[in-house]
Amino acid sequence: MKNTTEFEQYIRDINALADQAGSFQAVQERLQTQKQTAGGRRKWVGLIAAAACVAVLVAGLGGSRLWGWFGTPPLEPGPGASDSSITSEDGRVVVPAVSSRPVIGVYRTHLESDELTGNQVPDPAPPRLEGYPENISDQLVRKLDEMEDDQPMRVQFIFYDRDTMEQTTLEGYTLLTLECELSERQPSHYAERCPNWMRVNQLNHNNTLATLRACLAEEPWFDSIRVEMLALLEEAVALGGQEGYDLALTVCRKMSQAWDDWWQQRLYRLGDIEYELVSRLSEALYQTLVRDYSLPGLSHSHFKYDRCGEMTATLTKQQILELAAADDRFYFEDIGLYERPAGYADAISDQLALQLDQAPEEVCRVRIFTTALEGDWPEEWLRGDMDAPVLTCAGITFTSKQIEPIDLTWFFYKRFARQDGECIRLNNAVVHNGFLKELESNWHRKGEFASYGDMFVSNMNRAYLTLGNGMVELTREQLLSLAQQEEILYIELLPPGYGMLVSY
Amino acid sequence: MMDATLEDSIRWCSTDISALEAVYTELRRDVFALAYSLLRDFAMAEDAMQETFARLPRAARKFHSATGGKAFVLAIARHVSFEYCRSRAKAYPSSFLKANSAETDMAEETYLGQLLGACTREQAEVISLHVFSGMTFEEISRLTHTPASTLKSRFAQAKAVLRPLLEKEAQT
Repeated sequence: MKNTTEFEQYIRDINALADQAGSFQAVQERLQTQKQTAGGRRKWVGLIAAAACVAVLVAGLGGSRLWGWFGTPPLEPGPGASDSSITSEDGRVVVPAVSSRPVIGVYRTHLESDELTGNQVPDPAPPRLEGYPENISDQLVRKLDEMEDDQPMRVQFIFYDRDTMEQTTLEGYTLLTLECELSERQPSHYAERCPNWMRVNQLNHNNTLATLRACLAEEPWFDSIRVEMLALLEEAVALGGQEGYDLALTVCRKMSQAWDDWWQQRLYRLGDIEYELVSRLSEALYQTLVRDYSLPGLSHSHFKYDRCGEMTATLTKQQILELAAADDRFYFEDIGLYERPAGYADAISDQLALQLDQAPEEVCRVRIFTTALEGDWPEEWLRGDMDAPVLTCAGITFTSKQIEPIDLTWFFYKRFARQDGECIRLNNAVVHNGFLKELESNWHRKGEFASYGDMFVSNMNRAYLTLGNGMVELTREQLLSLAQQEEILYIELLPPGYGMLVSY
Repeated sequence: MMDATLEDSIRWCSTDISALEAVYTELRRDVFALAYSLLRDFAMAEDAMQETFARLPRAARKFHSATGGKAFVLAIARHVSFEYCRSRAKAYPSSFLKANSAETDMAEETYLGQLLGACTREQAEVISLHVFSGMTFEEISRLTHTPASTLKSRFAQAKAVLRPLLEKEAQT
């Protein structure tokens, strides 16, 4: 032990507490329990493996619709799964509800809370426990490993059906092809294509003027001002000297602006398509699941703008293992939310409805998706004005104080940098294109920011916009009133501290 | 027990319960100190300590002596503690956030309660590993994947925050 003179009392206190903290006997008992659980698990692994073999055999013989993934027929529980509770009915797999034990679930999840509170575990994840199907997440496997087979729980899963995904298209895009196109239009690609004319120091070289001419001739995004720019450029060449140089600079600036406009319009259009496509796909995947399965307590949010196919059901550990082994369209993620309480407007997310039900007195930090905007404001908002006016919904006044501008976030960012002197990052802050560029230049200039890899450029579009960057706090009454408004598409609950910036 | 013996015990503990007990006897205080500094709750720290040693036999198969016996066990303890942090954050977000900022289940008037109350979780972790477990900053750096300079800075910050407490303690 070091520094004992300074921390003598601390060491004494910890030692005293450690002496009270149980004995080796408790560890032995825990080990014994683990062995018993592992024994049970091995038994089930055997059963599942046998069931999977039989199912494959059945599928091979032209069987069932459970194997819709492979275009083959329904689940027939085989001898290995003789005590399986899952049955088949009219070509649909029926998973019965189990009510013998209390259901495990959560009423609010805070996926970002670890990160936000500085408790992200940098250690590599522990090795995956063996004997579980691959389409169960590591973290759920660790939880299942501690449970009895008949333990019911709310389980969150994603249902991916390849056929459904390929058949759901919009303007010729599937979600996959759309994401590919979007990924090609990220800022890095933009930087690559942003050619020499950005290097204004070289503009007095004839080569650069030639490059400018070539840009004008070839770039489709330049159509709208091509004639005007060509004329200016010819004039710049003719003038030569400082005057020609200044004029060429003007051409460059206009070309940059034209590029920005074209790129952003493309991005917004793709963003619109993405939003609509994800909404459609979410519903289509849900319908496919309902076609093939009857799952107890199945719920699915109608507004999964980011993760379509994500749903929740009440299943036992045994049922989860059986489904995962039999159908790889399921990917089981984690313990999920309890069932949505009745009586809340559709615009309120499941999580928020549960929060309002369980803790009605708490003020909720929410993100609101709305179309309640004034005039042409969306375009301006995307260019960086977070204080732009929002139509006031009945009974609720949004002021610029409630809608925290991103500058405030920026302020937090800088404050934490000074306090800690370490690498910091912006946690999932939605930053739009114009501001992103400004941030980048600030970072480079100040040289005090090590990483901004977690930032992403928002694809916000005219279909929906978020208010206040997720920083609006409202009471239960305000939220219930707001959810009745036609302009409000969706209100989702944010974890405490969301949007705040922390060091790590 | 010398380090070599500790490492042998870790290696054997997957098949020999007495080896596990030897590791437990050697490191239980260090494991508890680390868990308590991260969790700030006696019952949870006790639970995390037991869980750490219960996981050790299985984890020990991957033990390499280059890691160092104490660092290996404390890495498991740290991981278990963070798992508990996460589960508590999901179950009781408000109380978790409070605990993360300052609050502890220790009475505020106790020295330990004041010490943990004044430190961030990261600072308390460094104090536990450096002061209680006697690890160097380089060893802690490998364990926590944090630069040693950062750890030194955290330790210095913690000492600055705790100076009034330490002085008061020195006088009494």
